[in-house]
Amino acid sequence: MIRQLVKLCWNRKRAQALVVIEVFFSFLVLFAVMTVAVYNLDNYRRPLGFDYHDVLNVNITSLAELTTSPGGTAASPAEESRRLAREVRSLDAVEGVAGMAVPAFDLTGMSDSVEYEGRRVDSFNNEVSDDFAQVMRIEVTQGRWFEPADDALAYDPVLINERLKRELFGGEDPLGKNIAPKPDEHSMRHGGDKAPRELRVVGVFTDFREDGELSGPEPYFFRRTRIGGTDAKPYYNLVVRVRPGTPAAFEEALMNRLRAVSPGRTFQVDPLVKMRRSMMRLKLVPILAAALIAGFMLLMVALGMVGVLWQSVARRRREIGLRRAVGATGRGVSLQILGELLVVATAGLLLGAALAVQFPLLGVVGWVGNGVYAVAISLAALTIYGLTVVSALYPSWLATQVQPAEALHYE
Amino acid sequence: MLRNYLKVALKVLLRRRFYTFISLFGIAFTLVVLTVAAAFLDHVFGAQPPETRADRTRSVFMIRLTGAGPRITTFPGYALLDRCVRTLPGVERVSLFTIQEKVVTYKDGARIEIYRKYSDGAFWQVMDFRFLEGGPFTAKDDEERSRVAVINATTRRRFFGDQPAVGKTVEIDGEAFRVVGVVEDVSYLRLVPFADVWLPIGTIRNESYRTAMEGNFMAAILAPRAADLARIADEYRSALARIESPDPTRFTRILGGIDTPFGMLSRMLFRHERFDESRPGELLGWILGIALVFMLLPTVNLVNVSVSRILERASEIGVRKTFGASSWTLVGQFLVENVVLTLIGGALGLVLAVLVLGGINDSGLFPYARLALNGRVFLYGLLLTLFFGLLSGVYPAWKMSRLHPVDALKGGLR
Repeated sequence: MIRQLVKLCWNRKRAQALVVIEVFFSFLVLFAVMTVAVYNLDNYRRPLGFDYHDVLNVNITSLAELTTSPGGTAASPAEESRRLAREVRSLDAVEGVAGMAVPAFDLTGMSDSVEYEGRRVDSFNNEVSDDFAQVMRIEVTQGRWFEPADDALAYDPVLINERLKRELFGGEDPLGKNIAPKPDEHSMRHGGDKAPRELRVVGVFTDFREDGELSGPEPYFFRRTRIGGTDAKPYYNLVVRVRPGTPAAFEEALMNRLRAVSPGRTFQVDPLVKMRRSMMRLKLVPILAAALIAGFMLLMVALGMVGVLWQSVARRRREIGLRRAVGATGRGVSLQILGELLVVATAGLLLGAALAVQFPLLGVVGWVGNGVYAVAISLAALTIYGLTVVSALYPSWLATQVQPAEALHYE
Repeated sequence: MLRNYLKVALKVLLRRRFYTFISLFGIAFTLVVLTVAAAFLDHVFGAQPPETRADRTRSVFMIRLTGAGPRITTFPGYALLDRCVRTLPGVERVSLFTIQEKVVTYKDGARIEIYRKYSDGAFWQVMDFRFLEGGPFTAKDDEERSRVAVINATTRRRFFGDQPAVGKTVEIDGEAFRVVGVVEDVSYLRLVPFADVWLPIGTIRNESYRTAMEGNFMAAILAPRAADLARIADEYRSALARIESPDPTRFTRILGGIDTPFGMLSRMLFRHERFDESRPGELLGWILGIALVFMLLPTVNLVNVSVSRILERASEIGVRKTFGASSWTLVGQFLVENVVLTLIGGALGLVLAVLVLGGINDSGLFPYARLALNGRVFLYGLLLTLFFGLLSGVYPAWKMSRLHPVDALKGGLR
């Protein structure tokens, strides 16, 4: 049966070539859309690693300006940010306050290399205060979180997320290991005598996906904001956990308190829920726009295929009539029409798949996993077949309506 | 003759409603996507108020610090621009301003988000803002640290409910400013001029920006002639090369360039080792390439449908040939049919594109964005569709018209 269908199509290969090309391009479009969709859905179902409800982010913008200028003294903004945190903590509706360097749900991020036994990994990271795990509800799965006594340590304690643990250590126990990158010759020559401090892993946490649910799985680690001594760093952002049910008007009260403590500074107060929503929108809008365009494109292709089939049925009335006259059932005829289209679609599909498979093979887009590609290719193929069957429905029904007599007296 | 063709064309299109619908759908849809994409690019990068002198205006966006420490790409600080851009010879005007920053103000308990930009007095001469009332603040205002502000129409409405605002006081980030001018809203997508409120640089509370090499400043220059731009860009690069790093343990070289916003995008996208090179041509090539690839599928579809449409009418062609129609007459007829079809599809696409653009403008996705139809791109798209429509419709018709009438009557090519 299939061999016959293939032969039939092969005999009309010039007429079918255009349909093959069309299916080929449709498959590529679908493959792209499905890859993006599967990748994002896959990310969406992963845990975020923290709780953003009832948390306000306070950005102290001008603090950054002050510390990057050569003239400023590093100690005073650090002390000022600590005082701001204490003042906010004393407000009634506040359950907890912590400091962090880079806010969540924000396009900025810090990335650095870490290294263990020759394995080098680029990892996002953040600098956070001792209260951070409690305020953001970070889950520590191994080891411990930061504590005030860490100021006295000779090394910088860090906590790594599960993914960084896997990438850097495999099955090994990470606790107590140093992950500071070894300075290469180049920076030794220019960087002078200041060797980087040791970064020693003191704990492991599940995750902290600061860019929200649609971000990919990334290695991440936390460093600790030093409180005392000459190396003390300021909090550039405060995260404020308020009691559930705190009215929105609290924002203004918070802002007034902040301005009363530091009149010269600019503060930006945003609920994390709101920041998450704008981040989500920022990532979703282009995806949805592309999906909408792809959807219309596929509708167009489906309609085009209906047109082509319709015409081919109309032209082959005699042939179909002859088949009916020698005993073929209506079902057999409509299956033939459908089967022919499926054979042609498969040809286009194989061409498309051959190209699509190059993406995982050559690793064109590194951060998309092979599993995502596999699912995307299968989904795209399924959609193409679904589309083919739907477009063949009406024309193949039309074919069953051909009367044998009509075909025979045509000649 | 032509009138007859038109009449026949319309009749044929109406009789074969399904094919007509598929063709129209494909043509209109392709044109809508192309025109909306072009309108978007034009809105972000094209010359329009307040950047009307785009041919002579360039901006300094980001710099890259390289050397011993990690490579940092950031906005330049005031001190760097003051030293490297304000001193450029042969430039008509130079303006320094900050990137916009969101500040929150509470008015009667409601939260108002405002984008604030600090600028110098020259900003208003480099840019070509349309003032609804009042005027800009001046270099003198900036020097004397006058607490004056230029606001946009939306901010005026939010604070004063469309009443005249000049002379009144607005509170921005806990500070009071006297309004001196109100300008039309500027789109969020315009990188250089966008803000809700413009304040003099002199009123920045914290003085430390004056010595900073990295920070949140940008600069715009206005050259006397477009031909001077290349020279000015070279001089800016050599000025950057002369700057001594304030902290050689972090970086030793500063790279950057003077760009159009489009050039800046190409600089950021193609992460060349040499950051001081922008490649707008390469980016344009990519965009055109993507547009071409996008057009492939609708084109193949259109060709497919056209071929089917012609094949179906084989016997009609046969009859006309039998009664003495020449090949040219037949091709002419199909030509007219295709042109009519494409023009109807084009008109449909035009209407839909206007609706889509209006929808994007009203969605509030991009504050103050007013995307407008780009006639030139629409015309190109239409010509391209016409070309493929003709190719797909006329070629099979030509082949059919050469057939022997008997074969054509029997159903045409096999």
